[in-house]
Amino acid sequence: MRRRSTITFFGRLGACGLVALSLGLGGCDDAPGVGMGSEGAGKIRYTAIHGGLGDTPGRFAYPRAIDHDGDGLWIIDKSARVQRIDPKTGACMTIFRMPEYELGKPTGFCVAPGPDEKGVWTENLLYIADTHYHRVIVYRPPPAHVPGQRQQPTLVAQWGSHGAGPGQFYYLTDVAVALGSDKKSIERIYVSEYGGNDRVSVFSAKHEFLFSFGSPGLGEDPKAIEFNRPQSLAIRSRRDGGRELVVVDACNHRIGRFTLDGELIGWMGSFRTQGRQPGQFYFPYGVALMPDGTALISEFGGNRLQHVDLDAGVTLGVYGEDGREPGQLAAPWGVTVLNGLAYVLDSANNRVVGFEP
Amino acid sequence: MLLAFHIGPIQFDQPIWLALVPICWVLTIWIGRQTLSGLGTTSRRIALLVRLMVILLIVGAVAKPQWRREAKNVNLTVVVDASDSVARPVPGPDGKPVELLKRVDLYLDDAANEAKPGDTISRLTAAAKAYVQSLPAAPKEKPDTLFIGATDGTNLQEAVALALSIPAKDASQGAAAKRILMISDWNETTGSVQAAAAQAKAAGVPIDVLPIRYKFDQEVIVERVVTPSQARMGQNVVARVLIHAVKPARGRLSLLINGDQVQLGERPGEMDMQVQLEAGDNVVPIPVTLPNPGATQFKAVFTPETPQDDSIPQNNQSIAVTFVQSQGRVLVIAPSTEEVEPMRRALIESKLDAVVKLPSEAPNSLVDWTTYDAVVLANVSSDQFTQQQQEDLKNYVHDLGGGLVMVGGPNSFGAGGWIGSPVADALPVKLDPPQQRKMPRGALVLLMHSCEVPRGNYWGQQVALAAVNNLSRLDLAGILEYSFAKGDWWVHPISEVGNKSAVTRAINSLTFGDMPSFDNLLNMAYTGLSKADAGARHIIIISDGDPQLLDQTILPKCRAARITISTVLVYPHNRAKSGPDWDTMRRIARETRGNFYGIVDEGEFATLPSIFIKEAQIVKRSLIWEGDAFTPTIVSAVSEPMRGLANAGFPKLSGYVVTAEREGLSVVSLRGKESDPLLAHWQFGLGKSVAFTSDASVRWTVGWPSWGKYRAFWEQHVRWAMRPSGNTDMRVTTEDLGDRTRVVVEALDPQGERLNFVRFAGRVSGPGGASQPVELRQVGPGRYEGVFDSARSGAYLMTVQYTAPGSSEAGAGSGQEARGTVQAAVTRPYADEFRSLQDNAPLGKLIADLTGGRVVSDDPLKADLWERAGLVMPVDARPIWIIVACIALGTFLLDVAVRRIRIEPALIAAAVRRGLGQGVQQAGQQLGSLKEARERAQQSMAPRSDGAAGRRKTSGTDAATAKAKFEATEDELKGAKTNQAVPTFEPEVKKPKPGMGQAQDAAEQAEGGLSRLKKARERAQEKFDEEEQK
Repeated sequence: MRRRSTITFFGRLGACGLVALSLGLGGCDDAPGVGMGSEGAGKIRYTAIHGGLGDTPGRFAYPRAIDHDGDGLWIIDKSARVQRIDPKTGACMTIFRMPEYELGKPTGFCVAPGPDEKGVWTENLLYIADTHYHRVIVYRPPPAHVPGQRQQPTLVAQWGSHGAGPGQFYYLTDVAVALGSDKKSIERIYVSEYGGNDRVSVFSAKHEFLFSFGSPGLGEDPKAIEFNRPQSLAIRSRRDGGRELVVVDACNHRIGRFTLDGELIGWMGSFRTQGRQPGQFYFPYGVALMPDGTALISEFGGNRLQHVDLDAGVTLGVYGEDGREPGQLAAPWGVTVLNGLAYVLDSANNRVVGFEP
Repeated sequence: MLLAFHIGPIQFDQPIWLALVPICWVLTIWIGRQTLSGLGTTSRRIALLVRLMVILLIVGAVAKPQWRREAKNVNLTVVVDASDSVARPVPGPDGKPVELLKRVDLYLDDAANEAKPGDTISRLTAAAKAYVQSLPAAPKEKPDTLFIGATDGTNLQEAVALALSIPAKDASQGAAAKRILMISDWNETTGSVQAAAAQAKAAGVPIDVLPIRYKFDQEVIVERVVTPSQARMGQNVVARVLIHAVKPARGRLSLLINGDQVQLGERPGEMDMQVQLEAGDNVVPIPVTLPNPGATQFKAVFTPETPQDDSIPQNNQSIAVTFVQSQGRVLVIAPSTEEVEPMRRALIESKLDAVVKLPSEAPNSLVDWTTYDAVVLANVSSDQFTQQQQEDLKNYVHDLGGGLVMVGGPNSFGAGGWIGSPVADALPVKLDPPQQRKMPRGALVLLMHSCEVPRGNYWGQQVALAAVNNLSRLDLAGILEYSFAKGDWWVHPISEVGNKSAVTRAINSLTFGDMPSFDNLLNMAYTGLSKADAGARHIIIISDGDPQLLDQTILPKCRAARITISTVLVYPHNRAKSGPDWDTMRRIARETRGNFYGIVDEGEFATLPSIFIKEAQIVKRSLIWEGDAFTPTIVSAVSEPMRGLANAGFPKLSGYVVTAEREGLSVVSLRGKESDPLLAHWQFGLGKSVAFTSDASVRWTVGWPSWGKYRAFWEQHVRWAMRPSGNTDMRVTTEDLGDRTRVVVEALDPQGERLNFVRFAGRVSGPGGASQPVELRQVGPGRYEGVFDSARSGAYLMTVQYTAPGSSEAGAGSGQEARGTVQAAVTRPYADEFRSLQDNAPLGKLIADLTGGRVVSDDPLKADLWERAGLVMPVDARPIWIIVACIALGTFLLDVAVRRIRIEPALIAAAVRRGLGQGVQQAGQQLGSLKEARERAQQSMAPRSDGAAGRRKTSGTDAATAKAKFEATEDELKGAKTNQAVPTFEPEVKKPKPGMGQAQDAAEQAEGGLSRLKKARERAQEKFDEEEQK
């Protein structure tokens, strides 16, 4: 009986050993990767990653500007291609290349309604900061992409020239359109620029220069607004029903809030406090507004997104870390929020990453 | 080891382990028959089945199982020949010119209609080099931009290798099978596509071919110009122009010598001549007189009278080079004539033909350098020469046997930015000062932002290396950039350059991030340089000028700290030389007393390294020693160039550029302070070079021209370095072998006798400075042959140094060896692309046959480019061993459970039926009958268990439960303590009698397997006792 019992024991032991052995042998293989990391300062718990380096539709070469039209994501990359991307599948729905791009490519734009070239109110026009051509250019997008066919947008309007005078531009960075209360008219158009003429210029619906505010500098004096590469603009609706202009002052590492008349409401961050801690900014480049009035700030230098309460001046959350892996970010230029999901341009990784903030 | 095999979607990478399955199964069954005998039939079978399953899973996990998924889609990698032979319009089937590349686009567009969903296309172009135009994408997609590089060659081998390296992906980025389609005229000029086809075949990738067919019926080709390889100045020679015509043609022929047109017409001013060409080869002889010494280039150009007579204009000209011999031609390059006037006079007096030129007038091609027997660089800095000029000068010495003399001055040697340059390799001294030398040092910070420049990473590295290579080992260097991961940071903190390995590694690790602002970086540079122990502090910024600079304090702080900043604006967005980027970069340089450079066009990028070399010199002025005049120390007075000079003693000098001694064959003749080399010479390749680190008599050697040996000093050193000429007669001829050239040397002594056993050391310098050795072997009396590659278009200059054995019989020096140099030139005036008059379709067919490909149809709708037949579909296999192992583990636990948990099929069936809603009543009746049967069995066994009945310790409640359990008696428990092998349970039922009926069997099964074990043991014991009694 002792012998039989011993055989049984070793049989079990051997079986366990074989399982362990198989685990050990199998361990030589590459273990399957872990898709998502932790939230906060770690990897983004993403829901979608689209793009990748390439020159074919649906791929990007260093994308630098992003916005949405309610259904699709619009993205402009450094090859001067403007693409409309399905946020779920990443498929390219519309694509065209900027007609002129030899001197440089656009770095900012917004999708907003407005009168088209015939004066007919049209929902989704592209207001493009044509950075190196010193002008704002408005396009009506071409029809849906057909593989093998090149399509061109329809020019609706353009204004601006090179210079430091009123209505002139050095290097434009972004455009924001403030609509009238009826949503069927344009109240004002805001344009930011840098390059020694760092300011925000304000135009009427007919593209007439109204006024500008800001000058180049690092100062924090509320009476003398200074910008150091105002990279992004957004029109924010406050909880109290009022509206304000959010200016991302990239090289001063701060976010500015202004009335629509250009009066400073407050700063969050500063050149002196630049950094990578929550509440600090390191080259913030992009801004997207959440439905509740909070904002997502993409930090080009910090390789992350900060969810901030602009009213309180506090950080609500931090997303992402620097790196090349899925969920990590490299030089994120811009961010937008569509249907409750945030889409951040992971520029140096040539992709757009969607996640639930 | 067996190869991997698969069963359905499961593949085993190490299937040999599976051999254990039957073995283990047999053992398991054998063991199981004994160990599981106590179980009921059903339980035993299930337990055995589970064990077999465990064995199968464990062995299966060890055999490295993979879940395999076979690809279903095809990636078509299209290689389009974009070389000149195809890019030009060629005659179509109807005789009209056709733009081939446009036709290819249309063809692929139409063919894409036949692709299946999921199929992809990737595109390459093949010319002199192959380039990827697009990675796998939908068949209808086409990339916008094309960079095809140089089109003067066709390298199909490289294209196939590149096509094979592109990962085959389908539309969902999964694996796909690959086909290659090559669209070409199959006239390759370099490489061998057959070698690449063998690789494709090995990789299982078929190459389909679509030959581009054409044939030129009207064509004139100037095949070559034949001139003597060597001649004497003033000699009359005949230049023979070989012209091939497909059909008879008329036209005019002109000839240029070194760019000057020769009058060929009979009438005054008529520079060209009328020629009538017959079909086939034509020879046009043109007598000319050679006007100047040095390399003389002949260029013949044919212009057809009617354009229809000629299809390819690029092959209507040809060139040849003749070396016109002269004695002692020396080029002196100096910043001014005054700088070298005493030296020039000394050389002229020595019967040397010395020509003084400014650096801007220096030769621009290797051929031009060979016009001179020696070159003197007197106090000229490296930034005044292009990189190509420096490469050519080095090749001129090393490969063509020319002489080089570098003379010192504030802009010479290390102080002139020659450290790290190609010319530095040729010098007999090291330009970096000795490590132990105590000298004030400089500090240089590079602020790198070149990411928006075309090929910005390349140029960024080149300029950084140029600057750092120019620093001496004691200088300090730091590199700043903006990195996406680290922001503004020191790629290389300010530290001693040393052997440059650390800083070079740092340069190679530059990421060239898109810098938003200069503010932080300039503050970092200022802080670093302020702390640096250095005499000169300098910053160089390279940028397109778009980073911000709004910190108004930083530039004044730099100026106060004597930190200069030079800015290099490269490829700015605003090309009009104005605008914010220009303003920013200009302002930085202006306010810190640095220099500003604006490089707008890509064509000017080649000057970037020289700018950085020049700027790096700002921190290197400390390499000059100046002080009280002293007499140099003579180290070697017996070397050939120093012969007779030491006797008179050398005059004093008051300054020189500090260099270090070069180990090896370099000979130092004079030394200065702290044993610094002043005068040195050595052999470099086929040539020789001399370094004199003091100057040419204008500032540090003012008294030297009055020195009695001054003329001899320069004559002996320059003559020693000069290319030697021999007194033998070496007749050199060349023969074109396609992409190679055969060179034949016939060696004769002055008496015309053939010279045998001559030793040759030769090198050929080709287009772009590429150098290759050429080996000459004797193939007959006085005849020597060698071969070298000459595939690229351009001029190939060959220099051969020879040593002929002495022979009094032959008279070549009466027993002394004869030495000398011979030169020859081969020219390939135009790319071989323009020699092709028709396609080479048979080669394409051969490649298709070799790789299992097809010659596809001209009709894109019939071509079926994404054909599946003949393809090996790739398999995506993912390891599943961990899953199998986990299942095995779970099954193993099941095995334990099966033996511990009673499995009653009837109960299970009832439960199933109950679950299926077949009536509670039936189940209750069944349970009742089972219960009844068990009670009957217990009653029938009661008389045999009287002893046990009184020993029950269970309560009334427990009693019901105990019917399905076993309780050990106290005696049995005692026995258990003495014999561990005995089960610790004592069944309350005795051994059943045979034929007790179904109810008894059911009851027995209900009692569990352990009672069976006990009974079996008792039976065995009884049997054993009986045998003992017997």
